Amino acid sequence: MPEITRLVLTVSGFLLSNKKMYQTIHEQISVAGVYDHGRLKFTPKKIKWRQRLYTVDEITLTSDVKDGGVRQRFYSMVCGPNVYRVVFNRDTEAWWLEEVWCE
Amino acid sequence: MLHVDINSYFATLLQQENPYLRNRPIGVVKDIGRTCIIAASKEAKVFGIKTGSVLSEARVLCPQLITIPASFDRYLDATKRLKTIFASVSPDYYIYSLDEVFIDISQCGRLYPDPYLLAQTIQQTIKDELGEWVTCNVGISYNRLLAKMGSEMGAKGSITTITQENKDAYLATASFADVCGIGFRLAKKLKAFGVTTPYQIRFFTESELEPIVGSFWAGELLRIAYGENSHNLSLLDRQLPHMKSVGRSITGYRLYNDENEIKRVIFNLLEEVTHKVRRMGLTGRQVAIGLSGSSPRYGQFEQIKNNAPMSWHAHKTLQHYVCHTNELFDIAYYQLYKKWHRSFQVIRFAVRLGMLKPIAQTNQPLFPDWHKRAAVYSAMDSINDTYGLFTLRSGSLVNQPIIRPEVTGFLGDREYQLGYT
Repeated sequence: MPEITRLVLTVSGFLLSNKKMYQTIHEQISVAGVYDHGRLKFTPKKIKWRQRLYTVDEITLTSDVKDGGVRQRFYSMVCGPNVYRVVFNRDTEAWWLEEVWCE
Repeated sequence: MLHVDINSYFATLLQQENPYLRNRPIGVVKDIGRTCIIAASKEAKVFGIKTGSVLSEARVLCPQLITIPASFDRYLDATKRLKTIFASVSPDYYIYSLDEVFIDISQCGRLYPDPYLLAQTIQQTIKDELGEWVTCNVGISYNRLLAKMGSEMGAKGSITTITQENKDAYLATASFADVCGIGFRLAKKLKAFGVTTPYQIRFFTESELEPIVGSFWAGELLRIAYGENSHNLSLLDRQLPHMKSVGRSITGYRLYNDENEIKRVIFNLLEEVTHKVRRMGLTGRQVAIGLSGSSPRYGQFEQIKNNAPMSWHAHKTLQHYVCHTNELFDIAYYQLYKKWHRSFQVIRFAVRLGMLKPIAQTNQPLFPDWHKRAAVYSAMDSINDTYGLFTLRSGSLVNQPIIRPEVTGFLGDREYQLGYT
């Protein structure tokens, strides 16, 4: 790699990581919520991560992502001062905490 | 005709997702380490940061800029949800890009006597579906050109109506950036003649415009000057039975000089192209490959600064149709790339399979080997459709980072992304 390219990549990587960013976690979590059978919708209310319980204040965005037949539902949720990206694997029915927004 | 344009789509969705990002300048980059801003929030745009800005320059303009990597899968999902909304308004809609749609309500006059009220309802429905932070502009007019121009000219979250009566006022105040089809270079040419708004073109005749912009654009510009649909927007009325070509390109993080790496990237991109083509039941007979980069004597940035990027492109039109990766790779890599003596390091790779036709309408080879391979690819596609693309892949792609499919903002493969998933 030319020296100038390496230098620029390093600098931009530093700038990106030095600012507010999502921290990748990718750990399994437990989730409790409410299933509304009228709207066929599940709403997470509490998540348990590393033996700590977090109350979900707001679900800000949900997305259904499909990679082949593997269907995943992403939930972006505000719990107190933090924002969490949680993913529900609809095939394995497992919940993962993917990312946490950190200052 | 309605044109709906979500404001600063990628950045707005990020701000919707994360309340702490709201009212802050956001620059969306393709991935960590990338230096090109592919979308900017409205707060960042105030500082002059726009799509295509270089990160280092953007940071000079706005030191507090927050950069976030894009999540294309999630943007595509949001577009699919928007599509459901638009389909509920009228059956005549066209998803123009990931964040834009044309909705023809001319056949639904009795349902929607007041288009302005309908536009307000659409704005609210989008907020209900995607979140309160997601705003959109709506342009209302009697054709696509003016509807899009209206939504481009309006303030964020506004509704603009352009009629036969007020269109001249809009055409006289619009900049060429607001007009669909007129790019930066064409606008620059016109500016040299003192023409900065579409209305001013009316003062030229076609024969006067021809030497400046060529015969096609002379007629086209005059149509635009009078508020008529441009050629590219008229093409949206064509009913294409299937996609004409499938391509894939990628710009790397760095310059590639190692032959094995180049070979693997080309194979990876072709694997994605052929998977898409087979999934749509198509096959093609024109193979194209293009590479661009920089001479080893220069760093890539010096080359770009000198405005002399090096590129190479080749294509081959076959007498027969191909849809298997090995066939395509043989042509693109061995018959085209290897016959060219590479003179520069590569940063951008592009491959394409064109002249597509449904497999059912083509004659398949009789060779038993071909049918064995077809069975293998069919099984492979079936597994990858179930467990995700590249779950099962060629040995050439083992032990190396996989370049995965991604959507583009202009949604060139809209039929595949919105129709086959």
